[in-house]
Amino acid sequence: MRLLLAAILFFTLVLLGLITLRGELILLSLPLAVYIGAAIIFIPAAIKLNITREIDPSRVIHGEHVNVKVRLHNGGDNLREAIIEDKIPALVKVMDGNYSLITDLSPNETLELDYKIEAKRGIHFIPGIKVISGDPFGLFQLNVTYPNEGEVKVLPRSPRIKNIPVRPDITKGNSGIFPSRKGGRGIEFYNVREYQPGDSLNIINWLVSARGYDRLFSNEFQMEKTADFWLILDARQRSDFKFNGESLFEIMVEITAAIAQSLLHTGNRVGLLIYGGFLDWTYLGHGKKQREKILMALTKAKSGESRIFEKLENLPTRIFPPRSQIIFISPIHSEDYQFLSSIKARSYQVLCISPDPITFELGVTQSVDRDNPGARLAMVERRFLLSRLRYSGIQVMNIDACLPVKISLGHIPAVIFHREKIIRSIL
Amino acid sequence: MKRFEIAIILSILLSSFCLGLGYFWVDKYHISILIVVLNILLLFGFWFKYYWISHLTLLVNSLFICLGVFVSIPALVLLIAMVGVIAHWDLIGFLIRINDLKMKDSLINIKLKHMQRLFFVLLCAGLISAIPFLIQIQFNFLIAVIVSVISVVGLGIAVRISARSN
Repeated sequence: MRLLLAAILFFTLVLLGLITLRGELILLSLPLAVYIGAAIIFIPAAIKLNITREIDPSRVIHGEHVNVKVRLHNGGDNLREAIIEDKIPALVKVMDGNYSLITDLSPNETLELDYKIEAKRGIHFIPGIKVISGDPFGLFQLNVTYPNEGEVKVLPRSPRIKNIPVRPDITKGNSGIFPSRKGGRGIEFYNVREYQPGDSLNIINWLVSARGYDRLFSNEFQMEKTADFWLILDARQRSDFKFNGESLFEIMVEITAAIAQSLLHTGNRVGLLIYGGFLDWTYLGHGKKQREKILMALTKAKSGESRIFEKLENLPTRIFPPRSQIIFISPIHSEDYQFLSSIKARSYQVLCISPDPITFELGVTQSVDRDNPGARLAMVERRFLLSRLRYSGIQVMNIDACLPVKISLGHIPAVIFHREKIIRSIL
Repeated sequence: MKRFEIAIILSILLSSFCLGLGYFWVDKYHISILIVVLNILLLFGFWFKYYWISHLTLLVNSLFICLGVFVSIPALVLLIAMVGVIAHWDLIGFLIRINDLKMKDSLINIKLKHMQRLFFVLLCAGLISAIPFLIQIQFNFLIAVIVSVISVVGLGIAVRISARSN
């Protein structure tokens, strides 16, 4: 553009001078000619840069900073006023340092770009480095992109939570933390049985033995075992409430990661289904590898829209074994009630962890008027929906989405567990 | 205010002053006022970061410079105006190029270097162009034609080579 403008102006002056036979016009074009000529002299023959990139660490938890260092070694001509710019992806924010600069780079000179970034959850690709060099007056520009790729994985935060308020019906063979409804070694009282040789004196129930049956009785405890858990993350577009750049889906991902981590930490098998634009399965597994798989699946998780998965009816429940424990993480819509109550009726154990979208909106938008009729009506409607779910035997944890996940998941379990016990006793 | 910005303002003032004064000398007051208004607009544009105005003012000022030749404004005055026009166009172009950059550390140095380069090039350009005016060379029209043809062809080849290397 600049070259074109300068060239047009120069040729116009020259031509006008020739046509009108005015030597002054031709002479007035000389400054432009010298300007363009100087630009041509300064053009480098080619840009030859050796670029190395260091990303430390390349895998972080959401909220942590990543240091990026890019070293450029000039193996070619003198570069004057070269613009060097690292291409930063859209969801990455540069916190400190320079990722683009304009500089003179002599042959064999080394330059370093050093900056800190913070990114949102996901896998971010840094595609390469753009170098624009040419003459110092910006008339002739050589534009080169070096494909020096870098990758930053930003995992969701997964705060350690103490216990999950569930009591699975079916447990596995390994010892864990969930009561298995079978007598054996454990903490929770289960039954009284006749003393058997070899029983420890500590477990003899002296009160029952003293009733005069002429026999001794021992306490029996519930064995604590591991269990299988299916986590279902609701990634439907309609469940992803977004206000002021904040997304409820991020909180749901964080909750899922925290629960998965807590369950895996106590030796349970955990599977994950992300239900949104498509079905993303992570099959049951345990241990660190499974934790890694789940974290990677959650790192990539995005809310999406699909006509098939718009409602929960198409959720493939056949893959879950009968009476298995399902943990459903969703803000819950009124249309979901039918499906949730039906899977509960099919003897699945269901725990709904529901971040409250109303308090989320009020918190994010910093709405002062929390008692406005609209918000109150929405809250009443939600409370009604949750109570309907509870009465159909589904455990529901209503979570304040404005609180940190560790706090919001930390103080509710006892209440829920108690409520579950009451419902069981009624049923 | 920084040196770079001062240089831009000075170059705008230089070109507008020379052109305005030239037209004032030849009693074309209305054109003189028009040029001053135009350059005040350019100053405002620069102040409010509407840098694209510089391309427009380059063309319009060049038009007035051409016109000045026909209304017998001294060629030396027009030459100084031309140098001023190129200077502010280049300096604002530099600002456009660095506008999106996040670098803060050595920007002052690079601006100074750019100003030095530009000053040197424009000084050379001014001197080369001024010599014929100063020593009152009476150009033979044939020589002028030959010089202009050579320069046009030479520049055209240079532009083509540059485009190929791009």
